[in-house]
Amino acid sequence: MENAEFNLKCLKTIDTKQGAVRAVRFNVDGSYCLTCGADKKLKLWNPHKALLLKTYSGHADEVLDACSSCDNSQIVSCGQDKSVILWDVSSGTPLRRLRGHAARVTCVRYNEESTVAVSGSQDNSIMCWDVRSRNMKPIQVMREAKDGITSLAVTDHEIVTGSVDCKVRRYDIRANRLFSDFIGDAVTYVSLTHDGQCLVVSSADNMVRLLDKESGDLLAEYSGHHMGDYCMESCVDNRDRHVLSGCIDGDIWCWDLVQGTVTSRLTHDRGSVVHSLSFHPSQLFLLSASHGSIKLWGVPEDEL
Amino acid sequence: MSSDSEDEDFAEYGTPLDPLDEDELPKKKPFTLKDQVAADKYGRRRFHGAFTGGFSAGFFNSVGSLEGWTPSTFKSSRSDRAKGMQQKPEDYMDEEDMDEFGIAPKVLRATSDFNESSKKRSRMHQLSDGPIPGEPALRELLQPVKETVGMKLLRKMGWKPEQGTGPRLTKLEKRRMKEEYKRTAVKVYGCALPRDANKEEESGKDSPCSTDDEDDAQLSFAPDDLGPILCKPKDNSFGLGYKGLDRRPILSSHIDLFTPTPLRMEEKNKKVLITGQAFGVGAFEEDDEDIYGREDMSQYDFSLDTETTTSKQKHQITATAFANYAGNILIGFVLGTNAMTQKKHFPPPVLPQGFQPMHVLRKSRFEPAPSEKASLSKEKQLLKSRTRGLERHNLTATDRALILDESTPQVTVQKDTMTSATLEENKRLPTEELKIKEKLEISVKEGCSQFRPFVAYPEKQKRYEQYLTLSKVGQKDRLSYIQPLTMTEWEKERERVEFEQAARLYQPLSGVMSDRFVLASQPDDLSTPLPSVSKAVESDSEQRAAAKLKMFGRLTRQESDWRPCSLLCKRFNIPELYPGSDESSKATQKTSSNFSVFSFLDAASYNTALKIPESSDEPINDIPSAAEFPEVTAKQELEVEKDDTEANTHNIVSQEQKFDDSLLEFPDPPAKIDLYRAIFLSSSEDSDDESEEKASGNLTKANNSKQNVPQEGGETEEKTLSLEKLLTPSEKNTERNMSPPRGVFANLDLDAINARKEKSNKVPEKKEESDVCKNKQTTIDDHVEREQNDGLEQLAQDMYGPQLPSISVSATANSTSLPSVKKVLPSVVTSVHNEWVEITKKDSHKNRHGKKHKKSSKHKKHKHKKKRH
Repeated sequence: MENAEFNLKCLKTIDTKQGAVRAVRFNVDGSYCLTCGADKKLKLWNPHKALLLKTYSGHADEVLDACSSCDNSQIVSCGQDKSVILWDVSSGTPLRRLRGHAARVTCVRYNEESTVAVSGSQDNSIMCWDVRSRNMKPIQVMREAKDGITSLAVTDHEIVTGSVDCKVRRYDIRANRLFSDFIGDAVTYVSLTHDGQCLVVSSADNMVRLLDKESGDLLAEYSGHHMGDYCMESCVDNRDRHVLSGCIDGDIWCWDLVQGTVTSRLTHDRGSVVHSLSFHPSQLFLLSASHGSIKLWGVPEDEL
Repeated sequence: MSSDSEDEDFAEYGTPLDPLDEDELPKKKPFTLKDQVAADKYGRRRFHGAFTGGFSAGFFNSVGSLEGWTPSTFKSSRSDRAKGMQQKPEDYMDEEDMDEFGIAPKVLRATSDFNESSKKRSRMHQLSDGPIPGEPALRELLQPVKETVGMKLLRKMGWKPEQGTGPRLTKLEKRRMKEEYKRTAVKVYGCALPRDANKEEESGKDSPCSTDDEDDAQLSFAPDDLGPILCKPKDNSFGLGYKGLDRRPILSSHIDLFTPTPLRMEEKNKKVLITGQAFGVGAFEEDDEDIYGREDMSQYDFSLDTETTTSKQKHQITATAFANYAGNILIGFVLGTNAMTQKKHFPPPVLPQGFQPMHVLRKSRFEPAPSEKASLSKEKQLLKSRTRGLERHNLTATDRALILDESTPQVTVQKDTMTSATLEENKRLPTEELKIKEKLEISVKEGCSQFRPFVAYPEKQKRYEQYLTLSKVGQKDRLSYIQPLTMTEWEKERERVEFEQAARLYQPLSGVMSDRFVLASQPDDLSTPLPSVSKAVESDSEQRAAAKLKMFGRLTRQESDWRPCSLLCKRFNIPELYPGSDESSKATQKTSSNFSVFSFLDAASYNTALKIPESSDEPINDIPSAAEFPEVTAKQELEVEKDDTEANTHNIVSQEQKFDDSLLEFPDPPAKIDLYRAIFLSSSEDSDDESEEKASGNLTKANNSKQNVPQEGGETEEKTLSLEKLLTPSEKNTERNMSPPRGVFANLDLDAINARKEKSNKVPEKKEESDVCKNKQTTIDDHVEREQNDGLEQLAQDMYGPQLPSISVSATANSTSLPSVKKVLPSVVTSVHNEWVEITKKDSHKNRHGKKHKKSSKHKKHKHKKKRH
C-alpha cells in the first residue's frame, strides 16, 4: 500500500540547455530548483511549471553544486574553478567569490540558518565560510580527509562529509567530536534521513547503505544498481520510506527503506547516466538530472 | 679814419675774397637722418638701428616692413626637368655679396692653386673618391715647389741657385769661411780626429788648383750656399724641444733619414724614445726627467767596447751551440747562426684537491661559510648538471656499460693492477667489510626508507640505504668500507656528502608525506602512465575487513576530538564547549587562512596531531565497563584528585572560580556570567541569584564529598561525574527551538512526558533542592550526587544552547539518576529533555537487541506516522 502511494510519474522534462547538468537541487521549500551546468552557468527554475527564472553566470568553469539559502535570498554555488560564489537571487549578481580551495570544489551546503556555507573540495579539505560577514577567508578548515570530498550534509549541529578515502566523517560541533566511519569503498554521496538519525551513504562498490548516525551501525543495504565510475547521488523520499539512487543505465532505483527491496525503477533516459537526484523536502516530488535534461517526478494530480 | 690807418699797417697778399653778406653767413649744416643711414649703391638702406652694424634683414630689409618678406616667384621645374638645372650658390646671393667686402667677393685674388683655404675646400670634395679614403698621398708628394718672392727678387739681383748670398769672396776667403763653418756646425765630442790631419787632407785635395787660384787673387766668387749656422728661429708654438709633424710638403723640405730621432735616451738599460707625434710621459712611464735636455750624459758611452764584447759573447755562444749539433743537416738547409733563445718554462702550480676555480661570494652574512658552502655548491653543481642532462659526465664505467648492455668490466682486473698500498687495504677489507655488508644487507632488506633518491643507480641506492642504517647505528664513517674500490677518494667523499644531504632531505619529509602518498606498487612504465594504485592502506585493513563482513559500527568507527572554531559555533547557534581554547584554534586558523600550497602540505601534520588523541573504536554511548576503560578511569581519577588539592588550598570564595577553571578551563568565567545574565536571564534573575548563592553554599559540601571520592574509588560514579560535566551546560538551554517535534520524535507523546516530569518536579523551588536530592538518590552516593548538581549549577551559568548527546551514557549507566537531574531544570527545557529521553531509550533498546530490532523500531515509527497522516 505504501508502494501504491509511491508511484512516481514523470511530470515535467526540462531541457536546461546548459550542456551537462552537474547537479540539480530543490530549494528549501521545494518550489524551485537549481541546476548546475557544465556551461559555467547556474540556473534557477520553477520545475513544476518548467519555467526558467534566472541564469547566474560568473563561474569560470563548470558549476558542480549549489544550495539555496533558507530564506531564498541567496544561493551559494561551487565549481571547478576552485571558487565558491555567493549569489544574490533577485539581482543575479555574485555577492562574494570565496577562494580558498586548492582544487575543484565539489560540494557546498548552507547550514540550517544559512549563516555558514560549508564547501568540500578535491583538495581534501572542507571549508566553512561565514556568509554573514565580509570575511573572505574560511572561518574553519577541516583537513582530516585523506582524499577528495565528494559530498556534504549539514544539519543544525553537525557536518557530515563523504570522501573518496572511503570514510564518512561527521563533525559534531556540539560535542566537539569527529566520528569517522569506514565504508568499504569510496563514498560518492552522503545524505541524512529527514529524522536526522540515519545516514544514506552511496559508495563506489554499487551499494547504498543506511547507517545509524550515532553508532555507525549498518541498518540496511540497497544494491542492484550500477554506479560505474560516476559520482552517483542518492536520496531518501520526503517521508523516509524509500531510498533512491541513480544508475548508469538511466534508471532511478527506489528501494524500500526498511525492507531493502526494490520497489520501482524510474527510467529517466534510457542509456544515459542519472547522476543527480533531489527529493522535495515535504512532498512527493523528485528531481533527476541526466545529461542536459532534468525531470520532475511526482504523483499526477488526477491520481491523488 | 682810424680804420684806414689800421689797414695800412697790414700787408696784403693775393686777391681778397668777396666780402660775405651777413645773411649769407655759412650756417653749420645739421646732419639729417638720411645722412646717418648707411645705404647701398642703389640708395637702399643697409643697416638697421642707429649704430648697429647689423646685416640687412630679409630680402632688401623687407623684414619688419609692411609688405614683409616675399620670396621670389615660384618657377616649376617640372616641365624642364630634363635640363638638369644646375643651381649655384650665386643664385641665392645678392650682388653685394659678390662685392669686395661681400661674402664671396669677385675681385682679383690668388687662384685656388695658391690659396690655402680654397685648396683645402677642393680637397674636401675629393676626399671620398677612390678606394683608399683620406688624402691622396701622391698629391701631397707631387705638389709643385713654389718659388718664394724672396727667391725671385734674389734672382733678379743676379743670384743663382746653389749660390750663397753675400758679397763675393776670393778663393782664400772662401776656404776660410768653410773651415769656420765646419768648426761651428759640426760638434765633435770626445775623441776626435786631430784637426791637422783633416786640414792636410783638404789641403791635399785643394793643392793642385791652389797655386792657380792664388794667382787670380783678383777673381772673386760667390759665397758657398751654407745654411745659417746656429740660430734657428723658433717658428712654432710648441714646447721647447718638441717637434711636431712637419706641415710643409715633403719635397720642399729636406728629408733627413740619417739623423737620429729628436730625442733618444738610454737610462737604466731602458731606451726612452720620444718622437714627434706624441710628447710627454704617459701614466705608465716611469718619470720625465730631462726630457727637454737634448744633450744628456746618458747619451754617451763611457766605455769603448761594451757593444763589441756583448756581440762577441753572443757569437761565441751560438758557435758553441751549433758546434754541439751532431745531427745531419738537411739538404737545402744551413745551420743557423743565431741560436733560438730558449724560453724558460715555468710549470703551472699544482692545484690542491677540491680546488674551486671560482670564488663564491657570500650573498649575506647568514649564509654558511664558504668552506661549508663548498660542499653544498658541489652538490648544487651536480644537481645542475643532472638537470641539464649532463649526467653523462658523472657516469662511471659500470653505469655506461649498463646503459650499453655490455658486460660489466671486471673489478678484479683492476685489482691486479693496483698498487701495493691498495692491495694491503684489500687484505684488510674482506674481514671487516664483509661483516658490515652482511649486517647491512639484512637491515636493508627490512626496508629502512621508502624514499629512493638514487633509484637510477641501483648500486648507489643500495649504498645509500646501507649508509642510512649505518647512520642509525652511529657509524657513518664506515661508509668508506661499503664504497667500491674503483671509486677515487674524492668520489667517495662526494658521495658521502651526497648521502648526508639526501638523508637530511628525505628523512624528515618521509614522516610528513608518507600518509599523503602511496608507494608505487610497480616501477614506472612509459606504456602505462597511470597504473592503478591500490587504495588499500595498511591501517585500514582491519576496517576494510570489517566493512566486508558488514560489521559496521564499532569496528569501522573512529572517534577523535575536533574543535570547531568559536565563530562556527556561534553561527550554528551552538555553545562553545571549550571557550578557552578559542585562541589556539584562531592561531591555527590564521596560519591556514592565507592560501598556500604549504598549508596543504601541512595538513598531514594536522592529521597526525589529530590521530594521536584518537581513542579506541568504542563509541562513548556504550556502557563502559571498568575493564574496558582502565586508562580512562585512571585519568579521571587523576583529574578529580587534582581538583581536590586545589579545593583544599584555597578559600571557599575563590574556590568557586577555581573549581570552574580546573573543570573546564574557562579563562574568564565572571564576564561570561554577566553576559549570560544580560541576555538570557533578565526575567528570572532572582532565581538565578538564588541558585548561585546555593552553589557557593553547596560547594563546601561538594568539596567535602569530593575528598571522599577517591577513597571510595567508585569508578562508575566518577564516570558519571565526568559525563555530567559534559552534560550540564545544555541543561539550561533556553535557546532551543520549541517547534513541534519532527522526525523520530514525531510519534512521541510529549505532553505525557512533560506530565511525568512535572510529577517528579513537585518542588520546583531550588531552595529545597538539596532535600529533594536526598530523596531521589537511590544507588548513587549522596555526596556525589550533590556535587553533580553543584557542578551543573556552576556550568549552567556559563553555558547555554542545546544539550549534548553524550548524556545518554549517564542515563544508561543509571536510569534512576535521570529524574534527579531533570528536577533541577527549569520547566522551559522540557522538550530538550524529551529528546534526551528518547535517545537513551533508543540506545538502550538498540544495545539490547541489535540491528534487527532497530529496523523494526523504524518500521513501527513509520507506521505511527502514517496513522497520524
